[in-house]
Amino acid sequence: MSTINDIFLGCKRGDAQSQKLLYKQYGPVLKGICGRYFKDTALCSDMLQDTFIKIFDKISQFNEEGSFEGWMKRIAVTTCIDYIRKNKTRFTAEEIDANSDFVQENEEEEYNIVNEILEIGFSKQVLFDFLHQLPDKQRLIFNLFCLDKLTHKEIAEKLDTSEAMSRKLLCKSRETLRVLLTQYVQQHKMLVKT
Amino acid sequence: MKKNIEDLFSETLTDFEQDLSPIDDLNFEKIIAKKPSFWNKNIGYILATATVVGVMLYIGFKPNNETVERKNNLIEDTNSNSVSATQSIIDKDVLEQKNIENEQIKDNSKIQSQKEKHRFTTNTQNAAPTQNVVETGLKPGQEPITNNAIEQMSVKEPVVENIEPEMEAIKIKPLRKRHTIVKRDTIFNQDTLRKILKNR
Repeated sequence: MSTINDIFLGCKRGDAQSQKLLYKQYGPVLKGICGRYFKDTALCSDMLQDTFIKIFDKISQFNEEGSFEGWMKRIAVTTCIDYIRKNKTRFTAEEIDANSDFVQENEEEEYNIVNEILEIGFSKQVLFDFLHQLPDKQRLIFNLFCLDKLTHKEIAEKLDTSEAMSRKLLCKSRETLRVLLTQYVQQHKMLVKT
Repeated sequence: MKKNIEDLFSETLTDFEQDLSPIDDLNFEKIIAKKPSFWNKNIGYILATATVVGVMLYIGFKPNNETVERKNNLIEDTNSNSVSATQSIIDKDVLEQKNIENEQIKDNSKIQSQKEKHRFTTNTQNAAPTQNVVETGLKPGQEPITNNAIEQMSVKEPVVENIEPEMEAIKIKPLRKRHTIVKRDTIFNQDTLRKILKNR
């Protein structure tokens, strides 16, 4: 069984067998990242393909100090963001106004719902589906901030928008998810009662 | 520990894996097939090298062209110089030829004038006896020309002054001769003298 180091060295040499191994081993994870950003499965597959093309093309630039897996994940996220930017996702003033009426988040209520979810149990796919129920821009900001750990400043720079817009959209996405999770808990309680 | 929605999703979905579909496998096969070739990988370097080589060749050949041009110019210059030299030689020859011709013309003219003078002197010398004949055959009523009258007429000879300087020496002699001849003869027919002077 080849280790990640052997696979990396093989890919650096341009060995097709090593590339195939890398794809089999890290393809699902990278596809999961692309899947968080795009609902469309075909588009998700295209992003995965682009990600691997970039990985094989720039593997010699990897300095081997950090994690190779982390480096590949960053490439996947960057590929998705580049695609979104190319398709001119703009955050207009109308959207700020439309999002300005979001309900002030209630932290205590949020903690309770999360605790209930953790108690009743859930699958990754359920949360993945909740994420895909978010509007595109809310999902994008939530992904970047909560899952890919970008700051609001970095998000604003990458998406050519303001930090305030990023914060507002994040709050809105959390509110939407809280509502969705509440509905899920209530449905589960109903099912248990019946 | 209390967890919020962010924590819940980040802990759950960070390493969320999606199964690879047959489409993904196909796409990957395309990636392997599309693996950049040597040409595609090094196109930048190849083009850059070609450009640099091209520029270097251009720069390298340019002075050679200049030297060739310079050589051509030199050859042209030398040709023109030689042409001018030959031209000057020809010019010199022509000048010499002209000078010779001029000298010949001068000599001819001298000879001609000498011949003419010679003819003149012979005529005058030959005319002397006729003068003597004329001298004796004075018509009645005709006044004899005195020595004074002859001297006056000989003084009136401006034609001698107009003769070219080199010819002067030649022309003086017959005049002197004539003068002596005239001196010797005291009496002349006026018409004869006029004729003599006119012929001169």
